[in-house]
Amino acid sequence: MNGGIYFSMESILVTRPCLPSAPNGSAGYVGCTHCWSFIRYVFDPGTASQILQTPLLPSVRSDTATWRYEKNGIYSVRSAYRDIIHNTDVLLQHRVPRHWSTIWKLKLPLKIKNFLWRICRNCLSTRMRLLAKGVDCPNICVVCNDHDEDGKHLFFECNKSIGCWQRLSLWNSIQQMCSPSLSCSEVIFVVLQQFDVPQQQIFSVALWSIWKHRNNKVWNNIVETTQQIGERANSFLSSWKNAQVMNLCNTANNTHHEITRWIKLTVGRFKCNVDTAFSTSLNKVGFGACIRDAEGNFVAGRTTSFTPSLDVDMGEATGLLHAMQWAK
Amino acid sequence: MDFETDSKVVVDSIYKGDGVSDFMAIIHDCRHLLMTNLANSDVKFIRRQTNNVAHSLAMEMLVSSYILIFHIV
Repeated sequence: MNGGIYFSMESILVTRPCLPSAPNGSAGYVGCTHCWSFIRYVFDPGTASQILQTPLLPSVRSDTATWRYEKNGIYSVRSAYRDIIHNTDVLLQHRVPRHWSTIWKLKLPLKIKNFLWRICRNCLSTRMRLLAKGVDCPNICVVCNDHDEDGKHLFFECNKSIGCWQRLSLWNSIQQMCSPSLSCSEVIFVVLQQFDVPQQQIFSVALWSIWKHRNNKVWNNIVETTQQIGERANSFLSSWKNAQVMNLCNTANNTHHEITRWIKLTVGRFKCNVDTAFSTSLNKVGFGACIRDAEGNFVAGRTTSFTPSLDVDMGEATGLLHAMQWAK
Repeated sequence: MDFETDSKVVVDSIYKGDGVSDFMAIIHDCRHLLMTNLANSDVKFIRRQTNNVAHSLAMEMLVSSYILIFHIV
């Protein structure tokens, strides 16, 4: 199977995103050393000779350097960035394991989601965070002048905030999930997971409104009532929702519904449906192909599988190639 | 023979893909077959909902470990 060779190349050269490939039939680089002198220049002799001896597929036509992280083989900053973010050890250490998609999937404006993320990454500039970073400021909660101002206190323990939650009829549910042992971000994730979509929305926007009030107090010395804080949250949310509805109306007119049924063919032709399934846990891809005649009668079917698992596009392409080789 | 897949990326690449990469190498192999043994064939994109049979076969392969070939009996 062809795919095996792609992967042995990748496993040998896992740290070398720039994969060379040689002309049809040549077993390496003989005859083209001048194009590849940079390999001897960049890598130590052992690695360089390994790279230069990489076995090549008969179907490889042109002998060029390619960039592994883009489908067209051309370097892009985007793909390099993606690789660094996902695969660099230094960055992996700084990852905070949470279901971040819970936040990013919320149906809310980006600034609110961003704000939630900042709270949960513990980088909201509450006084306790500022002190930890060496900023000279008091530690007391701006709003109640009673406790240390950290996220947990400001949003879930301060009397003013509890008042807001009660006004929004959310306090009973939040209180149950707000156990003292949980950190602020843990509470937010638990609450978001328990709430339905409208509750998630008002909860998130209210957090933002509480923070807004806190900042108003610090910078403008304005004290708002719990009613004002709740109203700001509600009106912000409803005006955003209205804007969304208008956007939806505009796009709805442009979409037309296509038929999603399997369609028969003209007489005499065959049809081969191909698909690929992926399993990361089994590290495996499964290929399925099914041939039918013009009447839609089943003619033949076939499945194969392949290890290790591939990325989606590679898998789909390999599945198609399998089906073609089978059908020819 | 008309081949149908629910991968738009694959279909688009077959007809206008360019470049050198692992992915394009496979696409080149497909193109080669389309020009030779399967000259009368075509590759089309269909929606995932329409591709249920092939999808079920592929899913089946994840749990079983043999190559399965089905014929009418």
